Order: sequence, then structure tokens, then C-alpha cells
Amino acid sequence: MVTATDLVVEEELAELVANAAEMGWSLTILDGGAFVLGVPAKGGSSLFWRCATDRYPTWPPAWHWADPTGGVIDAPTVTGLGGNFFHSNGVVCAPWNRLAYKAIDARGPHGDWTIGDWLTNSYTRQCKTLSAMAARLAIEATHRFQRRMA
Amino acid sequence: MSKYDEKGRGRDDWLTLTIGTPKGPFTADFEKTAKVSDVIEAAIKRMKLSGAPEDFEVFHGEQEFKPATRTLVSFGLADGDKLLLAAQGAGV
Repeated sequence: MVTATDLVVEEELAELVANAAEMGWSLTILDGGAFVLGVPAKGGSSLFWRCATDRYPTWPPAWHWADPTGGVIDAPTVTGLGGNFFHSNGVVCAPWNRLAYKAIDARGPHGDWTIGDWLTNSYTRQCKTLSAMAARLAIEATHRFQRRMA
Repeated sequence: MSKYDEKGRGRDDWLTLTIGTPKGPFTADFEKTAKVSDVIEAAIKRMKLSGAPEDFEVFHGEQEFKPATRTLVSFGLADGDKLLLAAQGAGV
């Protein structure tokens, strides 16, 4: 059975694939609507996330810090720091990241947000598609990334 | 075909740019003297993006195109360059 999540993710992943090709990002599609995104970062390195899209867009996706294969996630060696997004708790801190919610992930800085309200959270602004989120991550990587956690 | 358009503008007065947006990329011709805000408005219209122009910002690699009232040519863009239209975001 094709679900609403399947349809939305299929459409938005196609847009993200096209953006990645134009912008020079790496994108590896995994099973179940998951993918690994890599973008150039300040200092000549790259940053990677493995993104899970189950329950999207009812819930925001889960953007895990990852290695290039997506096989290692949330380890200090792959976790970036810098600016307000690349939070010292080890998660990307934004309403459009499921891991920012303390109710979902103990590292989540926000117990004050309700995950089902992510689209109307004022901090989400227009970061409401996978491509918009990827673009924000790419900008933060080139402008505010400072170092890896370890 | 004439080298100039009906307003007397030659091919050298235009830039073909590809812009990544929250709904995928698109390619369009812009006058070199067009403003960054014109690119944002074109992207909103062409890609049917939600939000107002002030909800977006434009980047070329590590360069942020601010203020949006500046012309494209003032940033040294070349034909075929690729820009990224990013939704404004607030990390919290």
C-alpha cells in the first residue's frame, strides 16, 4: 500500500536529487525513504547526515549526523558544531529536525516544542521541504560550521 | 535572429543562471542589471514557493548575496553560475 508519506517523500526526494546534482552535493538514497546527504563545509571538508523520513510530513524528518555511508550516525567524530543549528547537544537544532525534540531524543534541546506542530512553529519559517532543509544545512556548513565534536 | 531584443539589449547583457530552490532547481535568463530580489521573486513565481521574498536568501558558494537590492553583475556572476535560494532559518 502506498502511503501519503511515500507520495510526499517520493516527490520531495526527486526535487532534492535535482538540487544535489546542480549544487554538487552527494546524495545516496537508502531503503524506506531514507537518504544520506553530503555537503561541502568550511575548511574544505564535508558534512553528512542520514535522514529518516518515516511519518513525514506529519512529523519532521530525523537528520542524524553521519559518515559518508550513513553507517555511522550520531558519533562525535561525525557531528559538527558551530552556530545555532549545529548544537552542542549533538543534534541539528531546528523544529524541522525530529531529533531536536526532547520527547523524541534525550539530546533534543526542546521540551517546549510539540512535534506535531513543526510546520506552524515560527522557527520553521519556510524550511518545510527536504530541499529547503538541505539548503539550510549546506549554508550552515559553509558559513557557521566550526569543528567536529571529537 | 537579431543580436538584440526589442529593447536593444544584446546577449551580453544577460546571464543564464541555475537556481536551487526548496522545490528543486530551475534555469532562467536574467539581465545583468537585475537585482537579487528579482531572482528571489522569479523563483517564488516559477517554482510556486510559499512565503514572501524576505523569507529567502541567495547564496553563490560561500558568498551571500546581500543586500537583495544589489545587482547581479555587482557580485561578479558569470553566465552558467549556480545559485542556492535558501529559506531563512533560525537555529534555536
